[in-house]
Amino acid sequence: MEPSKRRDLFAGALFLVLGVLTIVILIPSGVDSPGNVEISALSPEFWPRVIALAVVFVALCLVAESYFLKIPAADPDEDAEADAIYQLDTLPGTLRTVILIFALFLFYFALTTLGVVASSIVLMLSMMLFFGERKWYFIVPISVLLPIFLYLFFLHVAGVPMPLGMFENIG
Amino acid sequence: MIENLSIAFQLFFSVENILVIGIGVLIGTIIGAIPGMTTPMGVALALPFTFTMQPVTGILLLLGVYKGGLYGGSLTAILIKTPGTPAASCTILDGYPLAQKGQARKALDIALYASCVADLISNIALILFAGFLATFALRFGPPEFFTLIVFSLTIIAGVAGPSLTKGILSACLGLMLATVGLDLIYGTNRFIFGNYELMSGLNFIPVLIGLFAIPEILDRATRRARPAGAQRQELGNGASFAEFRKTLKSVIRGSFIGVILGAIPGIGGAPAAFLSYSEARRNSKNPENFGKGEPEGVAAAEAGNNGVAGATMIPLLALGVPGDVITAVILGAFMIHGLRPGPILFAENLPMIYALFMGILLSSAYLFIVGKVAIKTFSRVALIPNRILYPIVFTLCVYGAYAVNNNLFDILVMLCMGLVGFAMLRLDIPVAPFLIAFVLGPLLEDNFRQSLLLSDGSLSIFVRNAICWLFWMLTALSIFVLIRSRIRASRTGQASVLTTGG
Repeated sequence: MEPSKRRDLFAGALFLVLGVLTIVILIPSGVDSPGNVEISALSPEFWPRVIALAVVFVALCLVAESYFLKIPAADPDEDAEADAIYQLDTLPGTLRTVILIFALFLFYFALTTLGVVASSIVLMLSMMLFFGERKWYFIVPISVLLPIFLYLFFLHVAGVPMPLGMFENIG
Repeated sequence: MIENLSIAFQLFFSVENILVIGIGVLIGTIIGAIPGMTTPMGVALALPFTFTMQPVTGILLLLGVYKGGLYGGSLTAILIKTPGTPAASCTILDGYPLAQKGQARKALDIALYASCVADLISNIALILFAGFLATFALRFGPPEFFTLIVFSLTIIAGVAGPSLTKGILSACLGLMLATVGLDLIYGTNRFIFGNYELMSGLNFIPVLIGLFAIPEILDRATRRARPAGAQRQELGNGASFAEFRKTLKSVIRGSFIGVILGAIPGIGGAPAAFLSYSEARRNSKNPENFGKGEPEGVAAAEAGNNGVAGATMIPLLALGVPGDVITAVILGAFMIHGLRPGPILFAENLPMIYALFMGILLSSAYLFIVGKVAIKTFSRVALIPNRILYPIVFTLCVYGAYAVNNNLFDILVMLCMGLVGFAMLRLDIPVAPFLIAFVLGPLLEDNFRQSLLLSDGSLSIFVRNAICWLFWMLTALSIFVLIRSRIRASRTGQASVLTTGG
């Protein structure tokens, strides 16, 4: 089976499962319906149920589509070959993505302790290195000055103080 | 009328407003010129900076970014064969060959003049038609609005990606996410699961930033840094007025194509540019020159592309229905300021609409000035490598998401939506229907339930008059056309011409 067909089949199956789970578990446990609803279509759970049923139906259509119809050719990616060579030279693509996602969520959990400015400085610096930038005269000034400039902008122009975490007293 | 205009003058004529449009066009041109940054991403990142501005000022800033972004994409398309925005990909066809002949400056000038003329025509169309449409829409009740939104969502779902089914799935996801929070009528919980942060629903801006900026950054992690590919080249001489005049017919035709396609929800700049280009080639005395560096090709592509800018605002202002992601963001800006575009806004806040029109007209002039400067200087912006650009974009995302409600939870929402957007990117599911459905979801449900309240539960209210029937027929027709085009695409193996991608 072609990769694009496999991808569509996977997408159809995924949405099918999501739609069924929404109908069977999420709506009964997550939507509170009052007992005195006279018109059933006005009930709070009616609309989510209609959407979930639509998801199930359209997901089935997508599964059928991926079986019976050809996937049209996508625009050729001119960089694909060079990207593949790049991935051979460095960490595999999936691992790089997982590392980045992990770093972004770690950044979120660091926000309460380190504050937005310090966390952003560390993250920007790490991201630039991770993406392959090696020139310190770019990395350091941009990583340090941009978060501070944005902090001052939002504080003085927009009147929004960003949380500084443990550095609150300095701010 | 005179009184409204005089109030509008007072609303519009401030140093702040006049400056902010220029700044918006400037930011938009820079963002549009950077490959990897899209215009919706630019408008989304600019949105948090408008919170403390007056409504007119904030919206004009976003409009400036929008218009600048549409033009900026053509700079790198011509100079380095890398369209800054998808809509500029048509400009490459003749723009890059001209640059290779050492006539880059001429191509850039023609692109700028065509963009300014098309933008002006589109703005005038907006001013002429939005009011008429709004007056007509005053007859709309909840069932008419419900059917209109169903029609808009169908078109957007159908043309935004490779297949109608994927577009509808994306829209359903957006509609479902929009139900999170307190129920509109009974005030009971929906999908809150004990988290009080979710009671008011998910905020639009973190969802928007998460969907449009984060997936690009995550995707970049698997790719090598884009080489700074632009070689410094001779720009050559600019275009004379006589040279531009030769292309004027195509520019005007392209502008009208842009206006018509722009006013239909979901179509956007790329199909308008390609249609305008093919029409220019078909009507040209020298069709064989197209694709080899024909200035008329550049002019037609840019006219089609920029002709949509004012027209996409017609359904937004007159009906309150955004036709694409950028107008959805602008709708978000209206809502942040407690305003709801649509016929009621025309009836109750006409001076504000007039003030926006004045700003929009001024933006065409700014586009010319900024464009002239951009040709000399900003083309180098495209050289910023993604490895530096994306960390900067991420930091802007974090600050913007937080500033909405001064709430760290919104940053978490943004990251989670980023993961959803990344999964959609990998599964080739377009995100535009998701976002527009998320914005229109509450309105759709509200109109559905209000209709049923009016009819005491009878579904016959949704076919109560000719307007409802018209929208149902248009919906059925668009589904038929989209399915037929998908089946044809399957037979030929080529992507459908109706789709715009993403």
